[in-house]
Amino acid sequence: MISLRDVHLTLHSNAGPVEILKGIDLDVAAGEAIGLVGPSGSGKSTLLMVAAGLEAVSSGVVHVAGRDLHTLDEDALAHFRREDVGIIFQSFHLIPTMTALENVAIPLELRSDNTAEKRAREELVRVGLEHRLDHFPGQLSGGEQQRVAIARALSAGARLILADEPTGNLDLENGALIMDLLFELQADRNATLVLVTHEPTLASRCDRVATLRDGRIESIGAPKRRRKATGKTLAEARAK
Amino acid sequence: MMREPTWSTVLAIARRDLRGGLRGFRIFLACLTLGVLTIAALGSLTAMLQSGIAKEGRAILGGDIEFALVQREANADERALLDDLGNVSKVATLRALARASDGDTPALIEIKAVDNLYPLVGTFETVDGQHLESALAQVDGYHGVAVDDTLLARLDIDIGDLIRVGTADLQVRAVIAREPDRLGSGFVFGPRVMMALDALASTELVQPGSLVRWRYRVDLGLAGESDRELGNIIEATQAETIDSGWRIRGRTHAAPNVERFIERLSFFMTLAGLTALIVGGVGIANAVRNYLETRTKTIATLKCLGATGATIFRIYLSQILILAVIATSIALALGALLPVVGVTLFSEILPVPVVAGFYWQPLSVAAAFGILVTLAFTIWPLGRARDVPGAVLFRSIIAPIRKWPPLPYLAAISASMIVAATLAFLWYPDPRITAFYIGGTLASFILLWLLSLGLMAFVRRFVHGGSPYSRLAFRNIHRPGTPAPSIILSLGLGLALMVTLALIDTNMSRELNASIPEKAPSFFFLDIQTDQLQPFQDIIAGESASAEVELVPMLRGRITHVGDTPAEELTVPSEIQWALRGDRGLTYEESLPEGSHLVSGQWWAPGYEGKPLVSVEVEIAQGLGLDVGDNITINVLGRELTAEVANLRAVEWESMGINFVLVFSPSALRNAPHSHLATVVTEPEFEQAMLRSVNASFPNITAIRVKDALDAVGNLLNRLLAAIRGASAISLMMSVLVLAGALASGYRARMYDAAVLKTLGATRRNVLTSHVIEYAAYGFVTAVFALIAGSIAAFAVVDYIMELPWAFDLPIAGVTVVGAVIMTLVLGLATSWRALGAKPARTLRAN
Repeated sequence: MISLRDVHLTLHSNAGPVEILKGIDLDVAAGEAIGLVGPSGSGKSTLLMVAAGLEAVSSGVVHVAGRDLHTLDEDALAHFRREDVGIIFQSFHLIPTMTALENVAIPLELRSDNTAEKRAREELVRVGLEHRLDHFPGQLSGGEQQRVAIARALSAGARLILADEPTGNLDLENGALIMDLLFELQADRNATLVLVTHEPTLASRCDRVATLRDGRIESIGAPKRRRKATGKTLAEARAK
Repeated sequence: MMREPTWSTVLAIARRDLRGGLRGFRIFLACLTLGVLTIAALGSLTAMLQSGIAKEGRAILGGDIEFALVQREANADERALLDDLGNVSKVATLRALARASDGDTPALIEIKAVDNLYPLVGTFETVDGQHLESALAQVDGYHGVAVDDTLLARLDIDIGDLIRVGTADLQVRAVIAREPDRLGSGFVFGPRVMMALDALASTELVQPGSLVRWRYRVDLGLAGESDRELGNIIEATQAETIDSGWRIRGRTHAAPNVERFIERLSFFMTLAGLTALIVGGVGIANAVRNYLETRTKTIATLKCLGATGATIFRIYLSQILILAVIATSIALALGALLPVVGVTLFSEILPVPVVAGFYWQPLSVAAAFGILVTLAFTIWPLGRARDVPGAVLFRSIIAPIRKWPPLPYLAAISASMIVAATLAFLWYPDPRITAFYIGGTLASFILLWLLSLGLMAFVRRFVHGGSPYSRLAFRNIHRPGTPAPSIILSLGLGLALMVTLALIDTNMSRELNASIPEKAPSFFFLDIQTDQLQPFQDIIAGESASAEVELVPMLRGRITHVGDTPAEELTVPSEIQWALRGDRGLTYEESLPEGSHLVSGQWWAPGYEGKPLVSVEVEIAQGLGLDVGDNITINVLGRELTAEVANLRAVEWESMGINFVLVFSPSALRNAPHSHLATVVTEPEFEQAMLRSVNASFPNITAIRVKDALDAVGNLLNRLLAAIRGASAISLMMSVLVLAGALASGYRARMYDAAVLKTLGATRRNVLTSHVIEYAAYGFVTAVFALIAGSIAAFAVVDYIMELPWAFDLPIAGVTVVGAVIMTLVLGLATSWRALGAKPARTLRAN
């Protein structure tokens, strides 16, 4: 699903050029879940942006979902994200003026899907929010907002889920429930998951974990001890 | 190929995004509504006036066609020609003096002598409902007159009293309530006195060469019902009377002077409205940029969800257009309604007829300007919004996008501007002024943009050191994302507009209150017969030994040909078209008149008796394409007179002495029947006695006090001035709105700076000091620009459009600029004060 070869990224600022990625090689197979861990500034989120086609690399080769991102222009990259990528953010980034249903429908509407509303509704039911369809983000708890964000990321059938610290703004219990949901949906759809996190325990639920430091992959491999889900059901989560 | 979302999807997303409220669009809506409203309301009002004049054309003219002659009546053949066309009513108009029969102080009056068919069209009304015929009838040996009520006050008389006009005593029988053809009578200096033609004859005012205008109004009946038929009849009669000096007007041009005045005033006001809209356009751009800044995260989110740049552009363009349509609709509704309410409320005191109603043409033009200006000013920020990267959601600080929008967007901006300019050329009557206006506006934008770049570069390069707060102020000017360009553009345009209007105002006020030149005459005396010349001079000398009298022969004539080209076929600059419009004063002189000097050619020799020669004022000659040796033909008293241009002459009109555009060699006109014109310069204390003596001895001589004439012109200018002040008020409102929008564009950055500085221990005063320095720098550079650009624009309006003398008034311009800069500082500091009032912790957390 993802193939990065000798990827370098240098950003230019007033203080001079800053090299953020320094020769990254990484392969992620379809259906695999990989965790990216490392200290702040190590390049985790940047690597996510590169995989989403939001940041163009300075050198190297980026293949995602069978596409060479370097050859795509801005519009083609937008279409690529629309078709294949779902992104989940730490701060949810729901559009505050739209209801939960409308937020989830957007990726489908952008694809001119006539069944956008119906499918968005199904996604929200799947994440246990059928009673919050017409609520605006400001009327939802943090956990609910993140569930809406997950539904949105998956509503258009994305094959690649990019999650940037999805539990960073949630308490431990909610965070755990969200991760259960995310892994469950990823497994159900056989989607590929790239999870950026500071939490080694969360990363250990992935198939593999890559540790980044100073723009390089320091280590990569299966987690030492694979963590399990919390075991709580969606109904319990909803009650919570 | 990937499909882009349909317009209905785009509109749905745009609508949902607007749920956040219109707070960010308040300035956008205000600027657009105010600008479109100004153009729509002025356009509607003009259309109502023009329509009123057109509809009342027959009444204003007094018939379907008016045939006018100066200084002579129609002869029998001519009268027969007119009688063949339809019912003919004969009217004579002239200026004269009137006094109470038992008083001795005369007043200037405007006589209208009518036959018993008057008015052919429309209704004449007296205050007490008396019929005109009975009011003017001869009773007990006295002809009756109907007068304006101002004459009663001026002569201290009442109904039934006698007034002396010329050599006749006439009885005042009625006060005029409504004179249907007054508007078509042209500029008036005194109150109207209506009398019968017989009564005019009894006054003996009509002497050879007297300035009497004989008007024959024809009611064509069914034959001239359509404007085309009317045009054909006018054309046919023009061909038959071309050499007779007739001035022919149809009902479709019943009051050309008024129409011209309305057109001119409307043109100026609409340009002022358009300027307000363009200045407002800067406010619109600022508002849209500020709004899009608040939508950055939404745009980035949409990008991450797969929206293309084009989709983003369409979503936000839809929002802008929805709001533009709302603002324009409100403006059009108000623009259509307010003039109707205004003219309905004030119809009684309006000097011209109006047809209140809905006029789609000016409203469409206003709407088109509104939408085009919106597009021209919003496509740029919208084009930049499409480039907001999705990566914004991953990084807390992203440098603002500085690159230019893609080519299609720049092309769309250019297209909007070109269409707006084309519309201006099509809609406005004077392409030269319109071109100047468009060029000036473009130049202002470019200069202000360069000025902002220059200021930023200068500060970056040369201004270092100083206190930490001054350093902060100067860094604010050139830091990434600085609001300097938008503040300088907004402030510069607003200031320049205010300076322009202030200087126009001051020039017009000066013209209004102009002290009469020291050597200016006290009186113009008209219609002095040749045999009255010596006794007239004796009377003047008897009243004041020091009085200076200048006498010249005076005739009226109309230029009919320049070389072999008929005057109607000449294309001449607008500023000299008046010279071809109707009759002009002519004279003959043995030598070069005072107050003028030769520019080319030679003055004729004393006693010259050869073929007719003429001296032509140089600017008119240039406008007509005349040079020494060319021929010009004048119709004087129904006869064609062709003269060779002997010389060109520059005239100092400001001296207010007697001077004429055309001065002939004496032999050319000496034998034509004519009267004389005199100017008398005397001390004010001798004026009343002099007036009384001349009137007592020579009732046919008319005196016009220069002060009264200037007052009459002043009334007209006062109306213009009121219009200018209206435009100033609108532009002031617009400038404040635009400035507020520009300052708001830096508000978020200021909030952040203030929070950081306060956290580091800076007081509000420290931060304010830095802001004062920054705003003062903006104020200084824009003030310099506004002084120069505003002065040039005001000069163009005063000199070219209003054709008034121009003088630069530094104190007024300076006070305007300083006042406006203080306003900027106050507005800016008010914005800063809000920013400083915010709790630092909240601001820092939000960032």
